[in-house]
Amino acid sequence: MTMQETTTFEPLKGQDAPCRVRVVPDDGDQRAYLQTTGYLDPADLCIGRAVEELPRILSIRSPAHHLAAARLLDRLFNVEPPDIAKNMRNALGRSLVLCRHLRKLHLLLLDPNDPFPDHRASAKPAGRRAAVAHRRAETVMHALGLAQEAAAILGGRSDHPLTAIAGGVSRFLKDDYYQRLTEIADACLELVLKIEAFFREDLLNEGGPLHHLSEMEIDPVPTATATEGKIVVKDRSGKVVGDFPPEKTPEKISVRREPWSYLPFASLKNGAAGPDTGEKMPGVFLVGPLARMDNEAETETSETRLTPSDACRAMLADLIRTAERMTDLYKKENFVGPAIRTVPEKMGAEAWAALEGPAGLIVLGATVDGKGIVESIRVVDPIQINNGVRCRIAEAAVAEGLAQNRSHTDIKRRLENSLLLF
Amino acid sequence: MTDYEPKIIAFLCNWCSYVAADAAGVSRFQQAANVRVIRVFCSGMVDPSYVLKAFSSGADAVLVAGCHPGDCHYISGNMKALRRSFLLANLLKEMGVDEGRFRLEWIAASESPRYAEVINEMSESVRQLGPMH
Amino acid sequence: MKPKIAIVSASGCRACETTMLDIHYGVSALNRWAEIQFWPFVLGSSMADLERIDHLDVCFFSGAIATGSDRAMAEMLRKKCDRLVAVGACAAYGGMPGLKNLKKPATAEAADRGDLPEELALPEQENRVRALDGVDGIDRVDAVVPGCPAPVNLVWAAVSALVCGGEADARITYAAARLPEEMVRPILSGLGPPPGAVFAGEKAVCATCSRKKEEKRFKAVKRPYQAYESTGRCLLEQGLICQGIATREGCGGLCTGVGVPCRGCYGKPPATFDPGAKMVSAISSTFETEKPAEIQKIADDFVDMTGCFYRYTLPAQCMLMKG
Repeated sequence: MTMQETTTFEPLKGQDAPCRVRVVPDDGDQRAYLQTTGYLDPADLCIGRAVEELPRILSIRSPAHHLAAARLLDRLFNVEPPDIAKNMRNALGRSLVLCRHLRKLHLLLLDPNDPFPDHRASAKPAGRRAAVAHRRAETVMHALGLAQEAAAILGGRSDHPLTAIAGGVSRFLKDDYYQRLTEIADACLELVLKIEAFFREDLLNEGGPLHHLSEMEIDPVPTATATEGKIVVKDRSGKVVGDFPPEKTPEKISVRREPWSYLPFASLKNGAAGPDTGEKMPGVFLVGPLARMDNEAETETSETRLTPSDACRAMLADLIRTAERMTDLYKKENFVGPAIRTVPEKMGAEAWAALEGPAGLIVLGATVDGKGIVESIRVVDPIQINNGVRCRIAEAAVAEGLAQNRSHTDIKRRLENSLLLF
Repeated sequence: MTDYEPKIIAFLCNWCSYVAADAAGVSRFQQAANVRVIRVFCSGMVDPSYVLKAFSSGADAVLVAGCHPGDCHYISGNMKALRRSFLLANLLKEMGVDEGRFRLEWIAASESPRYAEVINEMSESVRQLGPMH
Repeated sequence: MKPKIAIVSASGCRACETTMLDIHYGVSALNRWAEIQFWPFVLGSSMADLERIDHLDVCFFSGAIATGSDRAMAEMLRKKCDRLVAVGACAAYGGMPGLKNLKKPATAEAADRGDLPEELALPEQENRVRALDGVDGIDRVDAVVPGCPAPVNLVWAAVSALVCGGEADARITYAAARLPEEMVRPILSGLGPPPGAVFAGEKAVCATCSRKKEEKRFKAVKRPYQAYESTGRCLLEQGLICQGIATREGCGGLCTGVGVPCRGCYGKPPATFDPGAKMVSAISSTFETEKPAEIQKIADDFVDMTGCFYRYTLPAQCMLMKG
């Protein structure tokens, strides 16, 4: 495919926010823009609401925002949740990691031409490939179903969870659930190991249907995670270059709007991650499974290149690690105790909180008036942070596609699959 | 704005305020002609939804009038109206309805001058406020 | 011939759309019953694809109408679809995105989109967020699956009823147990649901809430961050704002069951005129005192009633602010 005029890839399937990639000719060259075409600003929904409603309102952004907002309330009311409440929130967080990653993997597995091939009902035998693909998709859905059940037990609902409230959680678990959670954790670990194996051995390898994920690359960028309530920034090689508490966020991270996309870009301010390297989009950084990765131990990631395939491997490693921790955490003794919440006594005027969600670092900050009405809110989350990396991935995918002379459909598929992972 | 005439919906209790309104007419008290009267059996039956419906159907102001406390024909209907009125007034204020567009008044059957006074006062203040929205 | 269906999301959070995928094993079986012709999220179908389609049988539409492209898609789907189904609180009543309508109009924001080349122009943001049936070109919505997000069992009931011709299987009988009888009969007999059917109950959430209701009396409003009993007594009786009484049943009292008050994501029950009015009436009838000053004091402790009573329904069911 060659481009003399503007080309659009729209819609991009499997993306959380509606978006498109528009390739615009630029002095004989092309430039690719990843545009988010619709966006709900959390401030529009939150300002004017009672502050204790934040966990329920922000949960429409991602289920992990529910937990982050609850942590914000703990800070605002200056209370420490009892251990069992912390465990329950943690346990919910774990199940949400599984839900999120498995959803992405399922979308990756769906056949682009026929996402739901019904190989049993079709007249002619569909062959081994289709049957195997179907089986794999069902394995992922099975694990997802279990993770959602755990999330529903712990959070009341898997999608917009309910139970995290100021100072703890809203109720004790019912007796029947302790045993069930243990069963779920064991079953999830087994399934996740299976899933990781077929992704690693068959799908991502040379000749595998997802091998294209390693065919495009960008320069690695700094990463950030929330570790013990602090935000930790690492440079490209994985070395810690700085940490700061969530309330310092406005000094360290800027949120910028570009005229060509509704979704703002969060970037590290100068000095937050070492010297500026003079890139065209300075301060781009990355959060999520790749940022959580302990470089040497878990996968071989390169210091000089970053591919969507790395992100996929990081996601698989994250799945296994999370499922493993679930088996430790989903035990009755972690969920029984005298109290589920510490009741707040007085309210502060401003609070900040950081949480490592399934998709990465979430930072929330809010100020309230004397009656507890939200006056201002700051949300820095993976949707905005990874926006910069996603733009670069889109540029790389388009450049690679044009250089290899690929068809429009092929480029679109590569774009979709690689953007899914960030 | 000179030819703007506010529309006021008045929910009047059958036993006190409606009688007062009737008497005010019979006694030929001067009163503004902006009122559409709806006779109800008790001010206590004016559900907040009636008030919202009146505003959403184009009323510029709503008056709910009933018997004085203690005089209710149904013993405590007017207290029900009173209990609701505060929260309703707050909700209306949040939704951008100016204060003074919704009023709860006690008008006994014998107080026809009071009725005319309330009506005149209300139509004048609503005229000042101008149309809703 | 298999019915042709479309599944789309406008502005929202995709939870309802992924609920369609959460029919788990059932989702591959969906292909046995229907031909999915348009599904941007999973098939990557574009507006151009939609223009080429002449006719669709059923469209499951989720998300609120907040941008020009949402509106265009909704209007086109209405023209091409026999039955348009609003899935989730956003499509049905405007949902949480509708809270944006409470915001005072922004002035500065539009300015910095200045010298953008035409090819990078973004779809216009509508000045108000609307529910699906609040769009001018849409005269009716044929069925509604409420909830935020719409729960899997009710979505599946709608799919089985509208797409699979009501073929009885375990899932629909499970979901049917929560639906009103006059809806279940025609579905199970294969006639399909009555026009305008809402896949939920007819009463208020209180009808299925597991909490004990005794005598309602409250002296002061309590906010959910304050102390209250996590199980047992009715939350409204304890002084919390719980909207179960002004909300359509169908969730089985999910929120109140896990110890948090209802916020009305199923919209109002058919017998209620306006959810806010209903709440005002329900709450204030339980005030114990008759002294105006005391009542005033209690009433003044309620904060952000509009954002609470109309949390999910502002664009569609708030008599004073809809439209």
